[in-house]
Amino acid sequence: MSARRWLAAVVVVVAGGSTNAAADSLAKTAEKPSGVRVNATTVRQAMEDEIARSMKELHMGDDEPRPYFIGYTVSDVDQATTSATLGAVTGAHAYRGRLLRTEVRVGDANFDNTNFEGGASVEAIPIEDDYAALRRELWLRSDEAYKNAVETLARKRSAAAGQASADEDDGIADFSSQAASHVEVPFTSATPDPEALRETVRKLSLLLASFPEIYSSHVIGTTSVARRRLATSEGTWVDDNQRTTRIDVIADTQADDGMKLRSFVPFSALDTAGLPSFADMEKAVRAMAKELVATRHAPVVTSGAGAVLFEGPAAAQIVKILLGDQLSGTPPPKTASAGSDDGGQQSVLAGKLGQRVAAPTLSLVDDPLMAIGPGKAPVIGSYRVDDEGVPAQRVSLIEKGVLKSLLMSRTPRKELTRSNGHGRAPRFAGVRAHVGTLVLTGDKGQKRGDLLASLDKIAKGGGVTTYVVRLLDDGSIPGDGDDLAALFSFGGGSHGPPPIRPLVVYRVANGKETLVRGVTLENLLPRSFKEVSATGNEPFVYNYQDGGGGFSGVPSTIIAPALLFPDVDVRRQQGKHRKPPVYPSPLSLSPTAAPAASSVSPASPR
Amino acid sequence: MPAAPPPVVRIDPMSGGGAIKPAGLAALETELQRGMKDLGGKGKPPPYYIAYEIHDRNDITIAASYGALVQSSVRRARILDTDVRVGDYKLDSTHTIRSNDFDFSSVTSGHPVALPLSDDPTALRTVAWRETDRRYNEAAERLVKIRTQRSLKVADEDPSDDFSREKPASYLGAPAALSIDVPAWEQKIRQLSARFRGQADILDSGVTLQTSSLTRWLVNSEGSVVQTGRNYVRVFLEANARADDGMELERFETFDAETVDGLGGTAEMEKAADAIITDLRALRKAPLSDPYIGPAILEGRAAGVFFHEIFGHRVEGHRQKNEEEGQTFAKKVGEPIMPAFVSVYDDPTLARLGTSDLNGFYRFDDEGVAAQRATLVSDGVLKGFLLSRSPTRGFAQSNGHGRRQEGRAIVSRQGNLVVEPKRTVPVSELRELLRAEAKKQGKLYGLSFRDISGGFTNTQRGGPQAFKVLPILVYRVWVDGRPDELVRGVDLVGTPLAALSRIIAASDDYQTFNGYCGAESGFVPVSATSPSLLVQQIEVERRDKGNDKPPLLPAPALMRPQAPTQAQPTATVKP
Repeated sequence: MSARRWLAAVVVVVAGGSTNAAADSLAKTAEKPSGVRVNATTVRQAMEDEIARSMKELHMGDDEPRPYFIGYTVSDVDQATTSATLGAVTGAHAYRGRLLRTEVRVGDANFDNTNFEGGASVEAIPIEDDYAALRRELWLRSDEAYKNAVETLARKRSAAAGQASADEDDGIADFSSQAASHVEVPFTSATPDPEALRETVRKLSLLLASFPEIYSSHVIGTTSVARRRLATSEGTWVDDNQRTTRIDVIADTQADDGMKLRSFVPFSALDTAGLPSFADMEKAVRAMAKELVATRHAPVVTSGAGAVLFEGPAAAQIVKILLGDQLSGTPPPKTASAGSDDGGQQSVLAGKLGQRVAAPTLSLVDDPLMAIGPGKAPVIGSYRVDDEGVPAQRVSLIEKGVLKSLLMSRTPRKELTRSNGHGRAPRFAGVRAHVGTLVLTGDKGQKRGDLLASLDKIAKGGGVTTYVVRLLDDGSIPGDGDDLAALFSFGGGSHGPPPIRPLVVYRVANGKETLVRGVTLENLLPRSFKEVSATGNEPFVYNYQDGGGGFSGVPSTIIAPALLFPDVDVRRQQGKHRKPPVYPSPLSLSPTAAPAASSVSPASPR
Repeated sequence: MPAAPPPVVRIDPMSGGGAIKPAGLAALETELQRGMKDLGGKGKPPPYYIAYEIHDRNDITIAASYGALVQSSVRRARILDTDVRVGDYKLDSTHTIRSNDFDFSSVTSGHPVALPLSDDPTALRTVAWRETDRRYNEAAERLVKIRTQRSLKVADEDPSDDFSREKPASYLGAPAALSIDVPAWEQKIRQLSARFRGQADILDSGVTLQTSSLTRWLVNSEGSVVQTGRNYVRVFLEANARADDGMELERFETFDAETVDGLGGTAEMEKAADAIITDLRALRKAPLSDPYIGPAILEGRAAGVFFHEIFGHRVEGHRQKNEEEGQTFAKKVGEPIMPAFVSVYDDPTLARLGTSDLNGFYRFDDEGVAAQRATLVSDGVLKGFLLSRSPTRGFAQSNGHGRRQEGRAIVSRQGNLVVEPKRTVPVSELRELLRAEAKKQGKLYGLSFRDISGGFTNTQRGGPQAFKVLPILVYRVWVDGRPDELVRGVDLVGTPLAALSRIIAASDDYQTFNGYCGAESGFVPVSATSPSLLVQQIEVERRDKGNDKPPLLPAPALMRPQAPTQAQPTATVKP
């Protein structure tokens, strides 16, 4: 009730700031190239000079601690995004900006101001290589970060003094030691090729115009180059860059009973040249669209016990959903009040080192040094040095079902005191350990036919319905104008993990696959991996941004073969449907609408 | 002495039409008519009104700090707003639901949708169709709720209709076009921002050029078809400093115009940058003001903002109707609410006043109603309100003030607010009157408010219906005639009826504040114009002050000669 009041209560007038409060930060760079001043050595010089001065002179008085570590990361981001629907561009934005991340640590490595309340300091700074302007920013941001650090350390000390020392993590240091790194990768060009991407996006969006039963569709393509310069008071210097390109083709519709249906196809590569050929993308988009249209007429699933084969993207997605965040060994930050350390961010795997966490046939490694995936698939989660300047390492996480290690940043934990080069930071958040390139393998990979035979065998046992799931929903893929009411009414059940919503599901019976709709999967947990009874032999490479929407996350990759989970609660989707359209889409009035689009036959399985 | 009104340029909303109807607008018109027909046949109940509004914007932003570019970007977007009404003009699906349950439909009533940037008819129509169908279903559902509620609750205090009947508008103006020499402006903004270089007391500073070229399309089921185009150009200079006691100090200057040429010359902007530096230096050394109650002058721009906040927002029509609102003036029409020598009006048809282009100029509001002058106060007596197509007691028609930022629901808003006193005195005399009044009240000094950064006011019953205005430059004007003294750290507070009734004199120095006003329907460009006003009694309270020290280390002296830099084009060829 009061929420409405505060929304309407206050009216303001401003003279300054943006003309449009809702304007997003994405903007198209000026059509005509402008003269941005560039100098190869200026940025490094400014960073190193201010680090040296601050380490020597920055302090608040004799009673207050001095910095023992200062790190600056300057990220030059050059990013172009195009969105289109039905062959027409709806947005073409580019963003060119420079972000400064400032880290100041006071205290010492055993007990400092980090791993406590407070977020990252990230600010937009001038894009030009102007020594004076950069020094000024570094000076002001270091001053702020230092003052915050001193204040945070004081609060952390008083919190620690007030809390019983029963905490088993006591005595764990805040920052692990690390040799300085030197990495320099030549930087050739800052400019992605937005024109090529724009045309590809537009042409892909036009393909969906021949499907009037798809009520809303859009294609979003982004290509980005990020040059990273990291300097620390420990002498680390990193100057490298990362390219990522992604196109999502997204389609939304409704069944005649109003049920919302959607599907998407993601394409990713390091740069636009690395994308699949247009013909291959066209094939995939048409197959997706046909399958979605067929889903409109597919039967709704009945709730009950199920055995599910996750294949293609769904296999990698289930690994991401169930294990992705749990593999991070970075402990959750301590809080000021005792007992509020609710373990909400504590990994459920963290306490299970040396224990069985998956079926004995399964092994899992994270290898950021893998440059290219199976079938020459692009791997965006590949890097040489992490955001703390630590060289990337291949980490064997699960060996024959037993948890051997976790992904580590320089924040130690009791069992794992050193970083293994996985400390990475989403654009506007702090560093923690993230997935780089995660590879799941099974001992005895089977052909698809054999996996279906396994499903059949389970079905014959009785009491279990068998399914193949090919695609799961992904919250980071924008939807078709979801309204607030729908968002708020989500997650009503307070028990168990949030249900997983598959988008492409086939029911399998006697070797026959029937498309179904309205499925949710419940009670799938990290430990469900212990039950995985079979794996496929064709690994799928799934690229995504971890820990941030759009392109602000950490580029990551998961590679996984098909996975058979023999015991899954399959439920019919709950909730009220929106009404189906009262009158037909203009697409169905157009004489060019392809008759094939109204076909009800399910797309043939690959 | 009797005062002459300020010189203005008024533009007839219908002048200069006759442009060719763009294909995109025609396609959307066709789709709207199809929706009206199909939903009229199949919708139960059918819609009685559908409107599309399209904001097609081309924005350029160039920002620099300390002599270096921070951003240079162009952004184009075409945003569709769809309004569907079910029921009839008397009672429709937009009617306020009085309920203790949170009303999601009131929050979600704005739905910005990205439209194709080209005039491709099929793509435009398909996006509009999906949106129309969705908004129709929402409206139909909401009307059921409204009808249920009406049978359960007491009658509304204000029995006015939900939607006024207005004459359809037909006007095709030229689309907006603005050409900017981007590299030249980058250099200019860079150079302006470099004036803050070497200023030890200034912390963060920046200069920004923002241009927005806005073409608006409006089409509704009553037969309105409108295209208008206008540009907004602004240069914004800002800087901040910190006093030794930790207080954050800020200062900004803006230049607003409809064309680049209207901004004025570089020399003037350089002067503004230098004034910011001088003022911030002075503010760092200025004494903290004590809480004070007594007479004050609100200088022109400050008086304009003051009126915008404490008066303008309270005469927005929808606030007279909504039962959660304070309705300060709802039942005061015909009664004196301020001194008899003061008149106030809002006129969006004014393109220029004195030497300023006015930010709040438009030809048609966002409901397609031609802009017109709204007489608010005449000789101190309240005459009317700012009205959208939502009628309120005693006012059945819109006066063309229904406005929104794209993506929000329309309410009545200000455009160009003008405070026009009937008798004025020269500025010097106003200062003498201030000294005399202060002396009479037994004060050592009166206050003079030169600049105000903005303010806010609560208009609803749920909280105190007071205002707070945030001054930037405040001077003590001493009774004994010694020079004015800059003070810092105060906010102007009060309640509207008391403040308005205490205006005792005005001068003849009209000044205009151009800005962007935020309220329920988003940010809209506005202006407020007033001469300096002498108020018998105002109250200031201490401002919340930060506790951070100024920077511990001095600004980096440029110990080494700056490394040579060279210009390099952004679009280098790919390897």
